[in-house]
Amino acid sequence: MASAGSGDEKAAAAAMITLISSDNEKFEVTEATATLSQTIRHMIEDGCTDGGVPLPNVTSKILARVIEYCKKHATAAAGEEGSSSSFSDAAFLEVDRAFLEELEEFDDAFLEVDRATLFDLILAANYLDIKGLLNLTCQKVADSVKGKTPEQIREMYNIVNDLTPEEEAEIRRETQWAFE
Amino acid sequence: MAPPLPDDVIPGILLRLSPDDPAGVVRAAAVCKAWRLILADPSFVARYRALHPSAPVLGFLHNQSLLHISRLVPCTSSSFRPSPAADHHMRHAHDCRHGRVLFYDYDYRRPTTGFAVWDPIAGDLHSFEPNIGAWTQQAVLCAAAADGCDHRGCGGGPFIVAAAAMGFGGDDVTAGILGKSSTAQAQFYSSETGKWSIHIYTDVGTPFDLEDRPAALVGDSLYFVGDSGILLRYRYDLLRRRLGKKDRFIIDSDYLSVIKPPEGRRLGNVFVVAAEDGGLGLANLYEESSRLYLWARETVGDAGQWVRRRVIDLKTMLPIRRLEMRPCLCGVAEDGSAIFVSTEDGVFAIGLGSSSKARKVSEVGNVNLMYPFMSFYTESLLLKLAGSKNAAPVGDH
Repeated sequence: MASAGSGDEKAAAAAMITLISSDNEKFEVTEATATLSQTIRHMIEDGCTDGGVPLPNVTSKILARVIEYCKKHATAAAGEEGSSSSFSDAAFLEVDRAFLEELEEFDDAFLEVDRATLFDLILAANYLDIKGLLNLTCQKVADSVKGKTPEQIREMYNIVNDLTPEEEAEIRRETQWAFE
Repeated sequence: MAPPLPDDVIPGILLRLSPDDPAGVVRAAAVCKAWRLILADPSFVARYRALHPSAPVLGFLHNQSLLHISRLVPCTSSSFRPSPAADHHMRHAHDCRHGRVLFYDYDYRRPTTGFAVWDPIAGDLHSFEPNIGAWTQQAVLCAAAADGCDHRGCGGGPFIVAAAAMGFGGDDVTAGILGKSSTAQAQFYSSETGKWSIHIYTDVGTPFDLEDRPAALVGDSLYFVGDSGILLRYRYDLLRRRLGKKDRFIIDSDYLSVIKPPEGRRLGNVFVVAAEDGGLGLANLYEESSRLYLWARETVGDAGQWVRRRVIDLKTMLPIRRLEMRPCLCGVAEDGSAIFVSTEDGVFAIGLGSSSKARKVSEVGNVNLMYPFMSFYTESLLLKLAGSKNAAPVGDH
């Protein structure tokens, strides 16, 4: 892969990918950023990214957020590859820790979105096959139901209870400990 | 009004329900039909297992000796509640591994005093007579551990209890001498035969004493920890296989030997670790600097040597309010995924993987020694959901 710095503009330009959102907006991203998506990585491998990659399932609003996430994490991945994997040195651990903390802060801030956007991000992460983003967004929802009763979960996520009273009574009878 | 959850995102969310929250899975199954169907799908369990490959720490055993209670304290993040009760009166926990707890039962009012192995999920208790004294070190483990059991459903199955001590003293240890000695001894109990094995005695050269610390299981051997990190290796499984054969000529030193500690500065507050990569490790904490050192045993030719792998500065990770209240190591996860540090403010789990994060697991402060209880309980609840005809969750409690 081309190095991002120095005057090697031609090589750097060759490593750019154009992503096209459902509302026809074009986004130029580096290959390193784009290949956080396994879906796009496969497209690049198959050589079908000339003229841009159409993403009919992702709106420009969501795609912009997804790219923001990938940019940050692509830098992180490059940093990890560059550094030594040895953990023998306490000073190195400090640097490593600061780096991870910064990434965590980014992720926390990234998740400060309304529920509709969060769901759209999950769908996009699923479609684009971005493991880290899918994990982050799904975990956010999973954490939000922790410690909640079924009634509270239904209320939070606007879910209709279609279990029959018999089915519900059965669950409660057999696993009463989980509802205490 | 909140937007409805798109159907496609629900499995991804339910897959990330925490393995240390068994009640969370059951409550999710009671939300609606769609959620219950997803959770009860057999392919869901397989995906859940892939995403959460190791057993979470659901709680830990803590002996409150002054109260004569051994207590299973659920982790603060876990909804696990042991069955039937968390408190065991007149029992002392000696080890916990593969979902089983080893107690020494000293209540004379009970029909038998001696060892008892408890399954906190099913609630079963299996008692048996001790052969050597309770002041030696013991370890409990699944009998199929050396045969590659993944401990996902072996809870009620056969187990081994191994015991080791330093000093002379045979079947009647009260007449023997235990303490700093150059003679090591060990034997094991098998629940399959209901019997204790033969005693192995070995002269290990340097006199030392065993520490009151859990042993580590690495491969077919148990490692008991002695003064300043010296290890006693007991090849219980090799011995077990040997005893099953006709030719029973036993050379004791083949089964019981010593591994010297790392050279240089004397180690204090040391635990033996079954490292995540399957190797043998040591963890020690220098209390004056609050630095945690991790060592790995590496083989060079025929000889082994200790290599310092990592140093973790606990001062920057833990909320230590007063310097004179120094943190101390109090336990190790049986799979080497975490080490537990006790402070005034509670017990913290320090991940030993690539990111060493500290997470508070208990509000109980100043714990000298604890035995983490790890179990695939949440996964087994999902399996039951998938297995039941009408897809209704079933619990043991």
